Amino acid sequence: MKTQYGNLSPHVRSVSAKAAYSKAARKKVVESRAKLDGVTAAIKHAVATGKLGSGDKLECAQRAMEARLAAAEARLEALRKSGEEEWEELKDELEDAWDDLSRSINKVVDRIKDGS
Amino acid sequence: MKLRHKYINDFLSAFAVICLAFPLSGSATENDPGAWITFSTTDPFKSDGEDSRWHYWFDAQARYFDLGSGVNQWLVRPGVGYELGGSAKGWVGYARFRTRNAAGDVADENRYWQQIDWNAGKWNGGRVSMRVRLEQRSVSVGDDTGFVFRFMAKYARPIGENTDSNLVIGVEPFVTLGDTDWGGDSGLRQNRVSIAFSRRYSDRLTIEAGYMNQYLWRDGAENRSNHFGVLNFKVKL
Repeated sequence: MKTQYGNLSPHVRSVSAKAAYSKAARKKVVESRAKLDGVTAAIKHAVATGKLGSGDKLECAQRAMEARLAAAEARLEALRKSGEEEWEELKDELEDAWDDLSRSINKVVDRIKDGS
Repeated sequence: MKLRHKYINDFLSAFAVICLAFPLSGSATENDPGAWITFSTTDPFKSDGEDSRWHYWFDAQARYFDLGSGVNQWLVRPGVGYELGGSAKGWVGYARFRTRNAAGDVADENRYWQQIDWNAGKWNGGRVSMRVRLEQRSVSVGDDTGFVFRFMAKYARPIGENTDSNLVIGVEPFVTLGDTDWGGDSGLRQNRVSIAFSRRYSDRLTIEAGYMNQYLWRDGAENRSNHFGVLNFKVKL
């Protein structure tokens, strides 16, 4: 029953498609924030135990993760405030922001695994 | 270079639509300038603090035909819609028109309408939306009820990298489904082609400004081509 707009099929949900999508996206922001905090903690632990050397590249990757999450949050806020005709356009932008965030988190996770 | 290519595509798309419209304007056509001002708002109704699947629609318009002639038309059009699934919405509504001719005579019209609209997908960096509308028109100067079928296709594409600004191109033919004692014969009676620039100024206000050609096929008279400057205030309440 999971759809692009949330957990309920369009025939069951009572809220608008935009509201259902916003709600699902808000949940995703919270999950992403938790994931990002987890990755940051893993970096600190790896650096502290000497498995990973601290460096500019790592800091830069961390900053990129934060910036991409902030961009996704800003796009979600714009979507929430948008009108009937604009929200689908903003939905596409938010999906792009999720892709960017996902890529940047994966990059950092790979770096931790490689120890680079 | 990529950006420049985008602008060329925008220009060509707009040019193609204008070309489609203007072969209709033959020599036996009366051409008139006009102005068309619209205020419109549409949004979901709230239910338990959340946007529901039910939507409202309201638009009010002032149309000035053949500027300086005194011919004008005013209308209000409320409606209620429901999200059918996917991007499709079904609507029912009413419209009240008041039209004044050059002699100052006034005619009123009651119009009931039913509509389905949906997003038809993406094309060339923009979005295509469509709607079909069926109308039942009753006019104070006639006895018959006119049935009109309308189909509109609209293309909106962001200008440059700024998604707050859009190029909007639309086409909408009108087909009258039966003869009436006030509106003439059935068939293709009207076509509208428009090109406009839309700018979102805030979370609550978007302004669309541009040009619309309204071509009218008339019985026993020259066809008419109205060239409107259009201004549309889209407001989120």
